[in-house]
Amino acid sequence: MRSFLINELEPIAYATYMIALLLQFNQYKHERHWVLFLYYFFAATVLYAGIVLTEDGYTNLFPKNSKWHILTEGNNWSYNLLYIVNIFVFSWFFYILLHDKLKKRMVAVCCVCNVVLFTYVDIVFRKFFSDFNSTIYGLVFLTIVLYTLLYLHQLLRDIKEENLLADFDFWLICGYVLYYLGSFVIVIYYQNAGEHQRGNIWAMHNIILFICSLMLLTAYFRIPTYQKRPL
Amino acid sequence: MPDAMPIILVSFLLLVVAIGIIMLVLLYQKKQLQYINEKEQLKASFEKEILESKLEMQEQTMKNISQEVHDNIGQVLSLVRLNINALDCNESKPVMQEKIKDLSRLTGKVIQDLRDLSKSLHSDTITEKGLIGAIEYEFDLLKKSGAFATSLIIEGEPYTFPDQKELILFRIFQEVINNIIKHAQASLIQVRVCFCIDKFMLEINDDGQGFDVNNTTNNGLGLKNIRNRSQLIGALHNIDSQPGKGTMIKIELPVSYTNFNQAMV
Repeated sequence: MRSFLINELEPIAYATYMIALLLQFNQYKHERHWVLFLYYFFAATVLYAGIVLTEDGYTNLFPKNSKWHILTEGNNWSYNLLYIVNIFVFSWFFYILLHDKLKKRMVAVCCVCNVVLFTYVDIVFRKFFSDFNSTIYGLVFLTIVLYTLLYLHQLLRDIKEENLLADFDFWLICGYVLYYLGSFVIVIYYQNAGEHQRGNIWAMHNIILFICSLMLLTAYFRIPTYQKRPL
Repeated sequence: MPDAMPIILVSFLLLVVAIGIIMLVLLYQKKQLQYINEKEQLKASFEKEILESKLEMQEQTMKNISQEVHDNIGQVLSLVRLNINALDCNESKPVMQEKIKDLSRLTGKVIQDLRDLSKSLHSDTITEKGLIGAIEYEFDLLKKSGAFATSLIIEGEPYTFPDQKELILFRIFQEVINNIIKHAQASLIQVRVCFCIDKFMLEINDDGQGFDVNNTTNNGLGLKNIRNRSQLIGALHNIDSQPGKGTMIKIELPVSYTNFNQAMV
């Protein structure tokens, strides 16, 4: 069970997100949901590949002198790869979602800062395969929390007549506040935790992710009911 | 215990965020209610303003009819009666024929005037004439009065606004013209209508006595109406005047892309 929570629950949560986003895209054809769907597909694939390649049976998949062998030595690369994809995808997503020019500019600046940080740590210092830098990862999470707060501020500034609970993006972003704020604390603790505690912390991270994905999927099915209610 | 620390901290944080989200939803719904109420109030005041504008237009039309009947039709009919009274059966046939011809001509004029009046009654709504048609008609009446030198310039390809907006714009135009007639002591009235790509502009200039815009005692009901009506349709208004230097009133209404597109189609 512990192993399931630590390893398998994360791809399952991504798959749940994918289902919710695909259903939403299928109904409303918004490009941003399709991009997020692709992101989760990519994330689930990369994470799963990271887990599989480090398992005992696959460590000899690539010869030791091959440049690909490094992929089987640890799955840090999968998280570091997601780190950069994460920042690009979510910066784009919120850039599309926010209307205010100042807010858009803030998103662009945050994106550039994170890319510079990634380049500095993972490429200049060559930590991409060897290290999972949780402080840097925490910064991405904090950046995404900032994006969500900008969106929530926009919601309160730009009141509409439609029921807020019938807005798919609202549920999606509420899930992101919960997940990324929780994850920020988790990755900060992760660095200094012992092996056993790391497992527990990561299990909690996966549980939060799964709850948020489930919340989105439930919201998708509940939205038609909310649409019928005036407020 | 230190092992559970991050889990407790994260749980607490998530609880706080969840409460925050619930409060945000409640705040949003409160603001939403306020927004809906304000919108309804605005709609009610807009409808009231439309009704008032229609009533004012009807009143204006009645005044025009009364003036037309008194000054024109009444005069000609009096002349007809005078001519009938002056008819003498003992007069020679050619004189008689000439007098009857005159009577027939005068009666024809009365009929023509009544037709014009009837036509103006039928088409006095903005919906039928359109904003520019209504402005041109009103301007024509002003020109015919001969009291002012006038000039009307229309720039750009005319496009339309929703009927209610056109009605309000026309009422602003009428209000300004009435103010000029009543108070400005002007000899020249210039009107410029611009159907620009990004905005509709109505500019009315006169060379009258002007007034101090900053002096609130000058801001009578007419100017207040212009301000209120401009705000109501989201138009910007600019009143520029100085004592002895005439008055310029400019109304600018931003044009949405769809409006312009409709005009282009």
